[in-house]
Amino acid sequence: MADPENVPRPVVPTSPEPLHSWQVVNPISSGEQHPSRSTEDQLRQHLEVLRQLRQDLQEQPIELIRGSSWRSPPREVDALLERMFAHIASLGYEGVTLFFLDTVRMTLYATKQLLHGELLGGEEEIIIATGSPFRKLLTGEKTSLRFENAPTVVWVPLAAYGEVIGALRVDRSLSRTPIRADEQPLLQDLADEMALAIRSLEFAITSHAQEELLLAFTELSTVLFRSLRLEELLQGVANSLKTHLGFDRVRIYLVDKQEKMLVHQFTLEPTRQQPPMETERYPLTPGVHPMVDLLLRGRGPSLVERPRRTFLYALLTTHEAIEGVLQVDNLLSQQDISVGTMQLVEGIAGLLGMAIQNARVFQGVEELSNTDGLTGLYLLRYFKQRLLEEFYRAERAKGELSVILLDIDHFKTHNDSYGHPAGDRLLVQTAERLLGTARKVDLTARYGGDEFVMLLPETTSDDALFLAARLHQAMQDVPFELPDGRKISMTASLGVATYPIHAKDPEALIKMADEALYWAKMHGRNRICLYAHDLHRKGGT
Amino acid sequence: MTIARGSGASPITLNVWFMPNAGFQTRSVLDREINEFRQLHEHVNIVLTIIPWAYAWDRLMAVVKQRQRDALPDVIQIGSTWSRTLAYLGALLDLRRSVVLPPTDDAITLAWNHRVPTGEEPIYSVPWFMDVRVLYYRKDVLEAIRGTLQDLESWEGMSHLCHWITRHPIQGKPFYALGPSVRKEWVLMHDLAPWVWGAGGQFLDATSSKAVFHEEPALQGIRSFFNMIRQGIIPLVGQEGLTYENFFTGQFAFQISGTWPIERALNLQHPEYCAEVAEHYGVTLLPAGSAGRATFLGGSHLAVTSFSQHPEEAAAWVRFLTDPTSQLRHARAIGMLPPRYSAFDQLFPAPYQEIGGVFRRSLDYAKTFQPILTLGTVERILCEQVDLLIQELINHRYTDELLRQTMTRAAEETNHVLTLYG
Repeated sequence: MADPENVPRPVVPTSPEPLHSWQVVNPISSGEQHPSRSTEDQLRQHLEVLRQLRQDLQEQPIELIRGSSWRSPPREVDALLERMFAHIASLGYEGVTLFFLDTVRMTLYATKQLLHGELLGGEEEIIIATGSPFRKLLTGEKTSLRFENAPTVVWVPLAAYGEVIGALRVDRSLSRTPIRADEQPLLQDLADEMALAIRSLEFAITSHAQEELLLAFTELSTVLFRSLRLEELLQGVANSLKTHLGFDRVRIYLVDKQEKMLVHQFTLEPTRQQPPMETERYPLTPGVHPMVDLLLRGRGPSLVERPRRTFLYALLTTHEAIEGVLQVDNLLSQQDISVGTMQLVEGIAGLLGMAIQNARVFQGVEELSNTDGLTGLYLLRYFKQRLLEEFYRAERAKGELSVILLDIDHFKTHNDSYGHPAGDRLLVQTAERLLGTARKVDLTARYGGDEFVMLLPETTSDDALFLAARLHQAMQDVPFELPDGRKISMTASLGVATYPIHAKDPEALIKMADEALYWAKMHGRNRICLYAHDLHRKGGT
Repeated sequence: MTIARGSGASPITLNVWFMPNAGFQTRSVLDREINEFRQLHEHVNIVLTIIPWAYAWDRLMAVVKQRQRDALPDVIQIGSTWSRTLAYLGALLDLRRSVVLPPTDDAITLAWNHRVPTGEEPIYSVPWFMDVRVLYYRKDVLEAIRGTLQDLESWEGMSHLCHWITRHPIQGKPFYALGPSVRKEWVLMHDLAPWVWGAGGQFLDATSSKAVFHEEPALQGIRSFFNMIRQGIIPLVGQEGLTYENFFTGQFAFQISGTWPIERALNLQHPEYCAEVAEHYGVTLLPAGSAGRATFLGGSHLAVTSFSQHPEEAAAWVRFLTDPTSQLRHARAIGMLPPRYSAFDQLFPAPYQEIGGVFRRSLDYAKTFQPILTLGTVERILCEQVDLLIQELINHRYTDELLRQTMTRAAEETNHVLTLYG
């Protein structure tokens, strides 16, 4: 056997010129004789068929379906083909097939065929090799194509605005009736109408997509400045991005300047069924993650990096700093993110950066004006404001909302015994234990004196009791430290109430929790009481 | 398991989306199944939409994500590896209470994506038909070059035969040597798979969290594949890439294929029939690589969409199509294989038992991909980079170092994607 490396390659056809550089040639100017004109009756019929087709397309425009793209033939094209086929078939053709030209694969490709009155879906592909008679049809050298051994089949090109988009094949193979030369002018005119209609639809779809992007930008901009609360802002923007731009997933990461980390804040998954992801944290060190590298590179000519057409990162920036990174992807659906969408995301990212900065400033100011100087917990005034917000949210969502009131047992005695500085220290340590036990979504406030209150959104009585038990344990099990280092044991009494079971409005909810707390105090302290309507008669929980 | 309906049940319409499994004859093939189903469920009207593979995924995504109300299908045909991603996107209904599972010893496990369900966990799709890659060969060509089936036991042995074929016309006619798959010019992950696996390599590590196709021995497998192109064994066509012709049109001596088109390209009455192929074709196992023999198993599943307005009827349609009788009949009509061992005997009656035996034995060497969420994106990454390499090869700039760099780049991109979804 000869050396494999010297094996000559198979002789294969090559293409002398790129297919897409053709122009449609006027069949008359090419020198080819135009088929003889039809009779007056045939001409009248010809014009009538054309008139009906144009009228049909104008009077019943194809409805554009939101989300269609031209990349794979949209459903609107199917609807258009079905109607056009019907017109052609009405002339007595038994088979009608439209082939689109694919200049990448150099094939004619059909997916719809009208055969004996039935619309079929399928696949048929014809290679356009060099020397193939189809090349002559598509370059305009020929105005129609028929094969000697198949007089019942004719091909005509589809062209609009000087560009060939495919070919139309008609046949009378069942009846074996040859297609006459004088039928060609009408077929050609019908093909031209079809090509024009398809191209017009393409332009309309593209234009429609642009309009949708503009609408999306407008609505997103509104969402951005609707809320000054960071969590609400991130949630609102993520929801809007997903709704209007259809991403599989939206993720937002923010920079923690103190810890020098990029921290995951929020993810909107494809559906609600996915479990919440664990918080990712990336140190701001080169090489740790492409997002971090992008962030460290800082603002370039673009705020967006698109590693693949199906996902991108966008920097959330302000004039002074980079607040974080927005990540959006279609890695599951594999839908390309268009340049237009990418530009929109870039615009939104800049605005979102500013909105985040504003929210953070607002959060800081709010904390200063709403927090207790001693314990760092929220003040009652702020608690009531948030209680109202959460109450309305629970009401809308038909959910539950719980409140825990906690009172340190024998606090006055403790103050009298050890002095007010010791009392303050006890309050601070109590606050620390409450914050250490509470969940991220809970809001802990100083109710006044030695009383504390905790707001538990989306929490049932059972879950509230569970948390109350943990608070009780945190108070009871670990001694408190006096200013002089001595340790003492303290306990607390807790009252729990839940909307809508125990109360129908915010004030009543606090009142019920307070009654439960009172019951706990009256029945020995150092215990938890869940409100019940007959509490004053029974032993409670 | 038919639906219990009283007389006079209101008629309903099921929209079903299938791929053109039998070209433009798909509708007539399915009409028989539809008619039989309707005899059992008179009130159910089935509207069939045929969507080519090339944009089936895009159409499905448009429906799943935009929920275009007038386009919602009830039952869909999906690729065997699509189920997990579609379920994650919330597109599929859990069928565990609705399907009839095959006996464990009869079900071909790989067709169920590595594990036949027990009924305790969600079932989002049911295998409908499958293909397992074997080597088709021309007996007349093999005889003319004095080759034997023993020569086809290894890629090395087969390559020697292919070199001869590329240099000499056989009985006055030039042949291409080896067609990697049926009619397309892209190289997909499953085209590379027999070479990668045959070399002892994998595409992803055992936990599917990291790409390893850029490392030995997987890289050796990919290298072998490209060497076959360089040597003209797998032919290129001008500037376009791989050739579009295939074994069943008569231009090839060998082809890797997972189908048995007995009622199509091998059927005298069919427009695709080629006499010289039908009279002289043979089937054998894929050659073995340096680490052994491996082949790829693919196929299609059926699923009910989560937004179906008629889930009970939709599930009944799925049950009907995956019932052994209908499944076997349909698989035979489209040239595919049923995903049950017992059906093989019925699919390959005398005088085709020898062929059936080859397909049956191939199952012992078959593998498929782990159904990770981002498999489609990973496939795309690999396809794009391999396409670049093919272009470099066409332009005489291909080198082994370029192969290594390209695959490393693809692996880095793959790893990045895997970190995003796991």
